Amino acid sequence: MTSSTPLKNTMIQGWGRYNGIVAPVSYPNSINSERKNSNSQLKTYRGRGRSYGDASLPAAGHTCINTQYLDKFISFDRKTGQLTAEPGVTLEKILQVIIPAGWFLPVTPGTMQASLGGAVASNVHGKNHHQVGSIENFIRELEVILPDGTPKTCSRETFPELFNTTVGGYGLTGLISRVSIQLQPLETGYINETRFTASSLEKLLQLFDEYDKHYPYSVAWMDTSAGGSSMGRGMLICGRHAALTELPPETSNTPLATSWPRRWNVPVNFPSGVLNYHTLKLMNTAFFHKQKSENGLIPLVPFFYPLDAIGNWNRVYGKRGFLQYQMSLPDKSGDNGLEACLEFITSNKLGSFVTVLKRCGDDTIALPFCKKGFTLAMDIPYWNIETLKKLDALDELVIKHSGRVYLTKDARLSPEAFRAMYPEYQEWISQVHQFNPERIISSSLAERLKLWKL
Amino acid sequence: METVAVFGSTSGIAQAVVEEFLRRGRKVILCARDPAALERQAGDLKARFGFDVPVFVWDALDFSGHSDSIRKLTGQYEISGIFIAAGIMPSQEECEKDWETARLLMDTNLTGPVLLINAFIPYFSARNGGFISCISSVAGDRGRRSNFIYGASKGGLSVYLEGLRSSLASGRVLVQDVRCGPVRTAMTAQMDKLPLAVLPEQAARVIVKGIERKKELLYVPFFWRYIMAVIKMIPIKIFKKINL
Repeated sequence: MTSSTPLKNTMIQGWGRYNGIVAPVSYPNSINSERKNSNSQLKTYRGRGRSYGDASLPAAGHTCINTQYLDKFISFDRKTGQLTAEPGVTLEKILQVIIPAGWFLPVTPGTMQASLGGAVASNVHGKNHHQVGSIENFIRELEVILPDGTPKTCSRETFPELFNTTVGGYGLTGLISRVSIQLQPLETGYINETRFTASSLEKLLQLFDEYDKHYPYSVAWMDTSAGGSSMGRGMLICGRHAALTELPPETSNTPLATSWPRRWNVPVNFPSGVLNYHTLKLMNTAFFHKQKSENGLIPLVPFFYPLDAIGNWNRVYGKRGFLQYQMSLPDKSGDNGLEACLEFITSNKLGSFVTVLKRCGDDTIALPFCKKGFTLAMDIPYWNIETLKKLDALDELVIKHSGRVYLTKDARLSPEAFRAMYPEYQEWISQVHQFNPERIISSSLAERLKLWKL
Repeated sequence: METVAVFGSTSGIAQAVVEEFLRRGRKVILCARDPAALERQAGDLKARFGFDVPVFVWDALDFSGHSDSIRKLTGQYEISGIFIAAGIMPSQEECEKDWETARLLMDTNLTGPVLLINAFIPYFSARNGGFISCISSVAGDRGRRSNFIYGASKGGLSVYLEGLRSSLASGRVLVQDVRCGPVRTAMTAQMDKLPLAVLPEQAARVIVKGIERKKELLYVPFFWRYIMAVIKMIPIKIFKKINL
């Protein structure tokens, strides 16, 4: 189609709707045209915009290149579970194809609405990180179109510098134009889930010690509104893929059938203030008391993607939006980092609705987030400037305990705190510079953290 | 094996229609102008559905080539129906400024499809069955200030289909006019206001169901029938002043 039509300026926001920027957006329709595109137009790549902060928001003066129409599958070998696809495909679309064929994602984040390219750029991790690590371990090959228009293939063996810099590299090396991943075989569409409750942090950590290694999937939900002796109370949810023999007779004929819950949408923004500290405390307490230890079969989709059942759930936080804070704290003997952070969170009333604690292993990419230890993720309805100050103080505490914050969730980290958290930064950014020397590609995140200033 | 030929298969709505046909067990052949785009589409369908989907290079603007294309297609496949989705939508402003853009719009949206269908008439008359379904638009129901050149191409197409339907009325060929409201695709991605827009998947379900139920005039979605009925009733003296 002849198009000299100027690009429309649109308001683009992060999922938390805390950051926003108005910028022109382009929707390329074919990877081939991007392969030959060596124009020096300043750009930022964006998948489905599920990062909470500004990782996929264009930098000022940049055009947002939205990959949602670069969403074709390239190949899927049903015998070996090797899948290759364009970056704009959502994980949901992938699951709809692979599950009936007896395959599953080896690593999946908590939403299937993320794009495949975005999943690579964020080096997503899931409930099985403690056993298999992040998606980096399952990417067989990438094609990256560098800012000068040259497509380059890379993997851990071929051109590893590009691979390690691009995975978890927030789209700053080029357009991730093709992703090949190795899937894991799937016997049934169900997970065998077991839940354990704990009335305090100590008890919760004991549960982790006891059960974590026996299950491929484990995650704990914590009540961060509870303080004192109840601090850290929560529930450990463990899961493993259900075998064919475990299915009740009525489902064993179609073992791979899994329910795709009919999504209902939050149609409008909730007025701000509906969710406040008191309602939060009430909900957390009610939810905690409602839980009992139990186990049973649960379909894949509700186990891995509980929030996706509610479309546009970010609207319950109203126009003001919310912040997400996810930290990674490494295991260090004698270190009570997790306890210290939790004490800070509860005593400063930084409680959130959905707080998740998980054991994790080490990421090996150039800019890694997960370190062997724990990761704690919380959402914080943004109330006022006090909240931001408290988070800055929390940053200092995290740094003190050698931890770091996940950039995919982050919307307000300072450049100084970032550098303190990521000692690998210098090396990573100089590699990025090799591929993107003119800084044709940038992002709001890169600008905020002053990534280009060494 | 009965096969549906989809012309302009790589366009937004057609992609979804192809998938809907495949999901319902029909065989499809993809016809479009760009061989690379065709391969990309076929590769995607193969990965997702697990079988090969044939492709055929065809250009709406290759007027003299239509008979030849049809001969090749019907020689190789048992074409049970055709779905035509070729169309472009440059802005009204562009068309007014540049006559070549306006002409391209007319050729692609009106002349091309009409000549293609004309060339198919002998085949469908002889077969006396199947369907000829073509994407038109609610924009063709009435000439509106904001989009009347595009509207003219689609309005003309709808009139052609109406007459064709009458001329084939003694037989059993379905001639279907698919009048789409706004659909969110790459073609409309830059548009600000897309009132009541639907996704290609939603449009495709309506279209394919409509073909199976042998509906002759489809509005996608259904409520546009009533909206356009009202718009068509507005008297000229008032309508010409409205900024629609």
